[in-house]
Amino acid sequence: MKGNYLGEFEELVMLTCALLKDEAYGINIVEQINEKTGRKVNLSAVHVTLYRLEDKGMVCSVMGGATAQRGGRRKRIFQLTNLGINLLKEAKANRESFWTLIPELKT
Amino acid sequence: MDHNNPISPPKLALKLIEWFCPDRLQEAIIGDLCEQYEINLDRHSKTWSKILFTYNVIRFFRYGILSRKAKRQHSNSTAMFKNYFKTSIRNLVKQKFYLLLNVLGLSIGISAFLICYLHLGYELSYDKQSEHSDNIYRLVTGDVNSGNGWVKVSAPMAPKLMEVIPEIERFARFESVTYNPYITVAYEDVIFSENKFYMADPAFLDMFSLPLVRGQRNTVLSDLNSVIISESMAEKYFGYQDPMGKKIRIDDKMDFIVTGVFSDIPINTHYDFDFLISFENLERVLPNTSLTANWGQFNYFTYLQLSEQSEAEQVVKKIQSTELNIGSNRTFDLANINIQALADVHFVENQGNIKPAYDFNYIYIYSAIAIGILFISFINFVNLTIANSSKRLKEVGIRQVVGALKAQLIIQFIIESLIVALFSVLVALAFCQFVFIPSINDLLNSQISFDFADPLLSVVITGLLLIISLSAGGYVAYFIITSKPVNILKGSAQSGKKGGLFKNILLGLQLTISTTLILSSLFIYQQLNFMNGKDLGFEKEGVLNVFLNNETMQQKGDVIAARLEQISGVTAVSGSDFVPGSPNWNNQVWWEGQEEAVTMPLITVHPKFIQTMGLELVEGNLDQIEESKKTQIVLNQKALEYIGWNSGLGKAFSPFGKSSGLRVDGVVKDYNFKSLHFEIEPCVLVLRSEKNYNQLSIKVQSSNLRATVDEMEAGFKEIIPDMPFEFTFVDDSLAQLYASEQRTSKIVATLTIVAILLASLGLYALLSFTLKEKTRELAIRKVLGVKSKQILWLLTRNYITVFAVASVIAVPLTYSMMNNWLDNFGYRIDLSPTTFIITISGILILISSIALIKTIHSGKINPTDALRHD
Repeated sequence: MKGNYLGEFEELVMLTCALLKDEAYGINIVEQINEKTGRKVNLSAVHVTLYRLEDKGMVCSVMGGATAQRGGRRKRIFQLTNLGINLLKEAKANRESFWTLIPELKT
Repeated sequence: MDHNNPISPPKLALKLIEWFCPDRLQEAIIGDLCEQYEINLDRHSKTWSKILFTYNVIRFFRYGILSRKAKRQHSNSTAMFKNYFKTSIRNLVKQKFYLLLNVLGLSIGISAFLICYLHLGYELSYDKQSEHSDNIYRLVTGDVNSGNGWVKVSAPMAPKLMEVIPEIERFARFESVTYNPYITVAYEDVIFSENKFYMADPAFLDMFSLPLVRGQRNTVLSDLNSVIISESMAEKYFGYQDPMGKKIRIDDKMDFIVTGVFSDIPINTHYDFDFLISFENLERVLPNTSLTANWGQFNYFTYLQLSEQSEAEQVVKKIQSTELNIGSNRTFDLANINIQALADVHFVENQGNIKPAYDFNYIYIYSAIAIGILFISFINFVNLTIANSSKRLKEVGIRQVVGALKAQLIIQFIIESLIVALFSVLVALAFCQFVFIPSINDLLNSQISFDFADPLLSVVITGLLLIISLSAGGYVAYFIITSKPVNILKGSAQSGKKGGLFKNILLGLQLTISTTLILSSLFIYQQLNFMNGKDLGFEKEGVLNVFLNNETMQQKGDVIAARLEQISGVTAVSGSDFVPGSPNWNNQVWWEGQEEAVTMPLITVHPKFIQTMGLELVEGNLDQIEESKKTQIVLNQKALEYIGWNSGLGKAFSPFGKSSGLRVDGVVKDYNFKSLHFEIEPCVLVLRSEKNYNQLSIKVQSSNLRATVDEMEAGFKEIIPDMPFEFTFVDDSLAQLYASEQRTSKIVATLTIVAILLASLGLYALLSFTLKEKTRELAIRKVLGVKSKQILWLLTRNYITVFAVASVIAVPLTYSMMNNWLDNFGYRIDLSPTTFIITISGILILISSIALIKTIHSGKINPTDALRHD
């Protein structure tokens, strides 16, 4: 299927989602990416990416419970779908197959 | 950070994101933004955090977010549109009566507007047929622009001017071939009297782009004996034969050969002719004329075509400064000669015009009335729709509950109005095509028609459609939405009471217009009636004029008169040149002791004229006058009064030079020889028994008229068998004098009917509206035992007040308008208060009866139905 490839940023966001599990919502993902990679990403970019991934069926979202923070607004929690998990694995495997063929870069 | 008392993020930015962010995503996104704001508050200063918040909000203003909003709406709307259309149609069909009222009302308004548009376009199209029309001017004299001009000049003027002024490219002179109203035209044994027989310079054909069906434009009139005729004349005289080369005889003495045929002259030209011969025939057909001399004979229309780049003002200056030597050391002064552009000819009334000019004020009056009618019908449409809309409240309520946006509701009502408007336009077009245009053409003697190729017409129609549907739909939607239809589902519906004053003003306007129109048409009718019944000082009933339209007939006038007198039904026969209302011959007169000449109108008639027309002789002996063979003078009383004589008999009086030795032979009672627009003036009857008159006035007994006329024709044919016997009744000719008033009366009467219809419709709509609003009030009153009489008063109270105000405006308005109009007449009616009172009471009764119908209707409503929902 055309389009079932992951962009670099998409992959990053999905991995973060997987890492954060039940706490995978907008601002948390931003903070997490910042922490892990040092990249400053904008909240809006993360949101747009997540919605696009949702359209493609790689993530799904549920509304979490309200908290005292955020003025009582609920969070939208994103989870990987099976399709998303499979694609992530596939991407990793593809890369691994390349890496095994170029051992000189490993050092 | 104190969570119980957080420092809230900037409100403006919040509003912004709430506005553009799709509802579905809003909560999570704003939540995230707020959380980030709180984190930022810990890290940065308050101001910086706010700036960052705003920045982040703006970052969300991107395609990935906005497109989600647009996409969702779009797919929703297309499906909704279909649904609107369907429900609109269903709704309209369900209520056929309302649909009928709406379509009828609107289509009348639209028709009025379209007719007015076509009429305006038609009047402006006058004299535009020629490709040279922008460069054509006619020579005139006097103050033409203010309407005090004379539009003819003398024959030799144009050729001389062309010699000296280079801007004049060519000229054409134009005039009727006879001084009489008619001239006979004969082909073999076919003979008719014609009144549109003209002569013109051959250049006329090209200047006015006359469309020739047969013959070549530059050669058809090159021969003196050539005549070109209109298509309808070709059919009249020659039937299916080829008219070319046929010989016709005019005035029973001159022959012309048909060399060309032209399409009938359209009505929207300032000239009109069926026959045309070369102007070079002037000296031959009209006695005492000259093509090269007679500089003072201002009898001929003269058109100049100026070159493209010339300026009219310069040409006028050149004309006025031209000094013409007209032989024997005399010069002719051209300082009073002016030119008038062809485009102005139709709009300024001047003396000598072939057709009456169009008073441009009519355009303003008609436009005002047409727009008024359109406006009234539009208001009625809106009111009816609103009155009917309570039935829709539930539907709209449910739509809103289900989540329809206000904009969508508005669109729905606009679509509904558009459907009605579209339908009304179609009905209006049909009305115009089959009813209004034929009758208007008949009434105004015009040739208007729909030209669908005219882009402006499509623009006008589309514009009307858009304006009606947008504003009516918008207003109705506004009204329904503001009456909070959701509440009806909660069981507490109350339609809004907005715009009560506005509605009353509109109603008042309608009633004022209708009342003014009704009153005006009544007064116009009264005046026309008055003129018909007025004693004119002579008998108009049973007098007919027989025309003697060529020399042969005129020479035999006496013989014919003698023959007709023998017929039993004929009382008296007299030759005369008198046509009621036609321009009179003014002459200079002198009388005993009067040195300076005074101008008075002169009518030359046979001595028997006094008896024939039933004039009343106050001085002089009738038998003596009828016996006498001399030229005799009979004055009217006004003339006597003017001169200051107590008795005129035997006093010296002469219209032919100071010392002709004529004496007054009689005095008659005043009679109206002109139309009743004018007061009676001093007038001189010149009686001559020996003269060839162009008509015979005949007094007949009213019984057995048909047989008498047949007998007269037989007697006429005995003497001149091959000439046409043509006659008119004097009272018909008199009625012609008031043709324009008759027309105005018909138009105003039609408009009155339309206005009454529309006003009744509007009142009905408003009453239904009120009833809807007051259903529950009335129901409660009924439960409490109110009488229907009181309900009637409750309903009409408001309208009667509005009508009272409308009358207070309409009465003085009509009074001043009608007074103004009546001032055109020398003899006029007074505006009687009775008419005002009767009319006002009539309208009051009309209002009450409409209210009564509605009351009876409302009386049938079961109060429990109305109150059930509470």
